[in-house]
Amino acid sequence: MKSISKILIFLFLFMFSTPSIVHGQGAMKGFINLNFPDNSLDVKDGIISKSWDNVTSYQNITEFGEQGKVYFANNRTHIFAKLEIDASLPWVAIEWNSDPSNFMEKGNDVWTVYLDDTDKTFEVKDATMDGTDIPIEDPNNDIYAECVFEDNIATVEIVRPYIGADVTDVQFSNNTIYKLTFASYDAHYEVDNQYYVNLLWVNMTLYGPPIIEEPVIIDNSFDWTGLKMNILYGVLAFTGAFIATHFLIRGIFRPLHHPSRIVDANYKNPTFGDRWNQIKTIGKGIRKTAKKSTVKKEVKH
Amino acid sequence: MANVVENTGNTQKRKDILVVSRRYTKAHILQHWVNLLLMLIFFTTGIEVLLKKYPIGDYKFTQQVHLISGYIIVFWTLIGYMAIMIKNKKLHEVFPTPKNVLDMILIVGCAVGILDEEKYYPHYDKYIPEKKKYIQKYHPVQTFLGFFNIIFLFFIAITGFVLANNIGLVEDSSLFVIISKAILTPVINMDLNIRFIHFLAFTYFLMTTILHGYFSLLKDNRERFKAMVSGFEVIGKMPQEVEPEV
Repeated sequence: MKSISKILIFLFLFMFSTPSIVHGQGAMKGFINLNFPDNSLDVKDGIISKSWDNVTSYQNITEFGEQGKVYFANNRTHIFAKLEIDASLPWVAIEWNSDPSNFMEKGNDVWTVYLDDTDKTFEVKDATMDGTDIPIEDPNNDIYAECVFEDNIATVEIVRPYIGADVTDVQFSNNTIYKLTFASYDAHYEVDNQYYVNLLWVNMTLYGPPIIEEPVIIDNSFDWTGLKMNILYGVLAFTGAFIATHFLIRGIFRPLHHPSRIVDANYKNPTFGDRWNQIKTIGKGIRKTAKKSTVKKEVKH
Repeated sequence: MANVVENTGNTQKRKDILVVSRRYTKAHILQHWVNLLLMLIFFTTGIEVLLKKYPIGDYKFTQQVHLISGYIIVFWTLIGYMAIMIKNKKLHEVFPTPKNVLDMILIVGCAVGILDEEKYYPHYDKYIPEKKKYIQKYHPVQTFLGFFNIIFLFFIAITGFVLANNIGLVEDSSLFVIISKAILTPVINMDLNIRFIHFLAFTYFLMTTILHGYFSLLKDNRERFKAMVSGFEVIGKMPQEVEPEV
């Protein structure tokens, strides 16, 4: 670690939710990006690819927890990442093309990883920094990812094409140096109305290895978020349909006429037995009764 | 009960008395509106967490507001309100009975048009002025709603405490967390998604709250709605014979 990077932790003071950014010094030695030796990567099979065993370039990232580690690799068309994160962290983030002079600036590309250790679920978002506010999700999500929870560590496997679909996406190219900022939930905290942020910066040098095929990315996992949204919309649609139907029947076509609610002191509320006997008669003359009732009403009119 | 006298035109022999009754106590009204406020906070903050968008505050602030509201509703509804109901001997009002099931069968039968409403509809919420007493005060569905509200509130609370513990908002030593985890152990062992259970309970409350709001605004229920503000409702007019004026 001593020969690869230095870790800098910066504290930033935010007064009354109007944070100001204090610039610090960055540590500027980082990944030497290597070839990812697998052209068929299943990012939703619940298994972290064995190919990572052959990727020896990595960084210890304390922002991701004591055992936090990040691996990067590429194959000329796609960039690959493996993140080992303390699973108890609700979220971590990687901000691209940022250093002490421009981190958290509006428009910077950021990948955010949300974790839920209880349910063993996760979500990776392709987003854009919005200053000190929550990053804004990009219209296009170019990131494919999966996560495996084991021994309090969440290992996230990520693939993204070099060329991103959104204007704010970093457009990767070979033989280029990229600056990265790492942040996590634990590094954001508030004391006496003052908001502190710890961030970690490293550099990544992206070398173009002699691999030319695009990876096959398979995505067939169960989508919990999609299911939740479908249920939510389904419930709202059902509720709306029920209300519309009820309104049409009881408000317009067949309004219910309640008799006076005032009853005398001798009134006896029907018992379970009374109701039961009443229901037993339904089978006998259900249609007859309805028919007679209709005829009666017509005669009245 | 307050009685208001109204003339009918034949003032010599008969008057209609407007029967007004106290439907809800002040405690009941307070409980209802505090619940509504908490529901709005839950829905707003819950949706923010679901969509990961925070127009007010940030993730941490939103989670804390959600959690504090959770503590309030647990103490208020699951403990305080239940204690009041037991003290006032009205606990039976929030539990459905077998007769309510039969009532619901009849109501559904009438609604879909297979039963004659005049003969079969189980009219409810009667009032005896002499005794100042309600008979079957609530619609049968309301008794089920009250019961399932408590069940779902319980489940949304314990899953919520486990989720809050998971992200460090509540300590492991919290009694709420210990109890919640103990109850949810079979669920956790089955590797079921606790956040999904929390979400399903949320959809129940979303649906029932919208329907509750819709029904409260119907013409038939307007007096009951007013009673949830003032405590009083107009039940109707009651004819009363009077001595002829000399």
